[in-house]
Amino acid sequence: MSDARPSVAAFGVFDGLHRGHQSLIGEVVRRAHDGGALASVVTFDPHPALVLSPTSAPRLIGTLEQRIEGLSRLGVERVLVVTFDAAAARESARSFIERVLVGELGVCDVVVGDDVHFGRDREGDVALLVDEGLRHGFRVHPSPTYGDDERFSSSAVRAALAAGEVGVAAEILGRPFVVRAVVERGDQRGRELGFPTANLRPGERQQLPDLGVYAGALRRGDRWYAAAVSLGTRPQFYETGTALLEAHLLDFSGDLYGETLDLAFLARLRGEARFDSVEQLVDQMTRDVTATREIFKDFTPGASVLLG
Amino acid sequence: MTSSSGLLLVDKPGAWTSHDVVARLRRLLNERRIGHAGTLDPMATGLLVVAVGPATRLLRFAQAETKRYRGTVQLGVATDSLDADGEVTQRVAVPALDEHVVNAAAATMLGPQSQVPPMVSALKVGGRRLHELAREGVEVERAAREIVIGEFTLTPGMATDSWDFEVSCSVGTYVRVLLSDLAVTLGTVGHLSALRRTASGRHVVEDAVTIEKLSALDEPRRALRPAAELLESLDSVVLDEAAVVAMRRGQRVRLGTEVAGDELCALDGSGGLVGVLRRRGDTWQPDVVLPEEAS
Repeated sequence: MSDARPSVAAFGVFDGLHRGHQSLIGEVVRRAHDGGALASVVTFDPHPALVLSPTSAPRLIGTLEQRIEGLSRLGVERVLVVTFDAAAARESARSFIERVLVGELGVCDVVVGDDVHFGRDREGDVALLVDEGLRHGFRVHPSPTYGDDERFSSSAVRAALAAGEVGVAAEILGRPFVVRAVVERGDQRGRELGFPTANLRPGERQQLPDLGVYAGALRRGDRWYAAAVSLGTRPQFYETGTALLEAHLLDFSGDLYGETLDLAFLARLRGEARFDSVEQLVDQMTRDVTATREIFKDFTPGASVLLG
Repeated sequence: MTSSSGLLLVDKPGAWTSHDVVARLRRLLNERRIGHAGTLDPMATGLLVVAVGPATRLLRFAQAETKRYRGTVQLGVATDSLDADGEVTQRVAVPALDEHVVNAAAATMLGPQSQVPPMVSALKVGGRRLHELAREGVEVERAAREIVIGEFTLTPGMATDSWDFEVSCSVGTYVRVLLSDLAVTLGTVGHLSALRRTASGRHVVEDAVTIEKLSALDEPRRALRPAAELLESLDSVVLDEAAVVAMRRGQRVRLGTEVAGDELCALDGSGGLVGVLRRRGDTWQPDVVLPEEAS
């Protein structure tokens, strides 16, 4: 698998691949292309916070496979996944540079956010990288576009999602927020009401939007289908915080059971509600479907290379 | 009062994820702050070290340096995940082997070495497996890491071409990679068909409780062990009363004696755990301070 070319590299968790990440990776790809080098990214899995503060670690915007897929779509040619565990957490910044950046990648250039902190106790910064670069023979390019701007941060995306503001999240991500999930067999309740739904089970640590009803789009193969999406709790089965994610596909019928699909959240329609009668519920769902259809008309997945 | 902070040694059942165990314990103990050290794959059984309550903040110090496993390797069949949960990718004839040959091969794998962690089989990119993507020019790989294999012995297993093994290894070792490498050394392929963690540092699976047993207890919190056991890898220091008070207030303390290392387990005069101190030049900064009643 090894390539003789030296690497232009960036390193980080890159959860969500938001516009700040995209700009940083863009610089890696550009510099690699110009210099005949390999565009490389080092990323960490699981999220370092899971090891450093397991009980208060953030939820994830995307899965590792979404991240790798996104990196490859942005033009990255080599992705090195560093297993982040207690031993990795104890590794010094200099050892990380020597072992991974120099040892495994043979970097000629490193692109970093100018506020980067890495290694044990967050001791590594731009100055330390420059210092090590002189020793090992690589250049460091601090990029001011990433990190400085509060808007472009993974935690801002999580906060926007938690507040149900999927539009704000999309603004930071440069595309609608997409959850990758497996379709599970549900209790068929929706079918009886005339709105068959796919029950989606996201990953264990997935960040989801606030509970409510959303206009969405679901990708199957190369095609996106309009989907009315409901995120609601099932307190009788799960501990608090676990929600049931259901998507009613507008122009699709067929069995999706067992498939892994991408669901884009386009707009929030309303909060969770209880209805006095089944008729009222069906009326509301009919309005949700109409609204979803309208919003889906303006959905242009081709606008972002990360959606395709 | 029953202690609400400490550690639990759980004997994880097969087919459960380590997180499933944590989720069940959260309900059983009615405590949200629960975390585990050293994930066990769903297929594996055995010792899972779990921290409960304020003690979860000590988990990052709890990675025992050495772990012991017992398990079975199935030779002749390769899977994409290197264990029995993956899809079969290859079948290769197994040469005639005896115990001497197999153990001689295992002996060559002892000592410090670097190991490349496996890419998980479930990892797909755009619906395609990673090795397919690799063919199109995107390389996805895991960074190598330094590990140490202490002991590694094998005996013939129950099934044809299966061998039971015992291994002791450093934290971060992927046992399935080790066994897959051994199979290649023996001139065939193989995958891990069973795995049980028997020890993690000083903790042994014989001291662990099963989920069923824990569920049957009237007061499951009684199974909790002292939080200080999570800090066995650190040297400890007994603080005088003034220093205990200072540390609980988050103030730096000075120690009378010279100590090696950068992290210390701090105890009060009666041996109760106060927290963890971290070296800051000549002084020691409180890194984790536990609530008084929890120690």
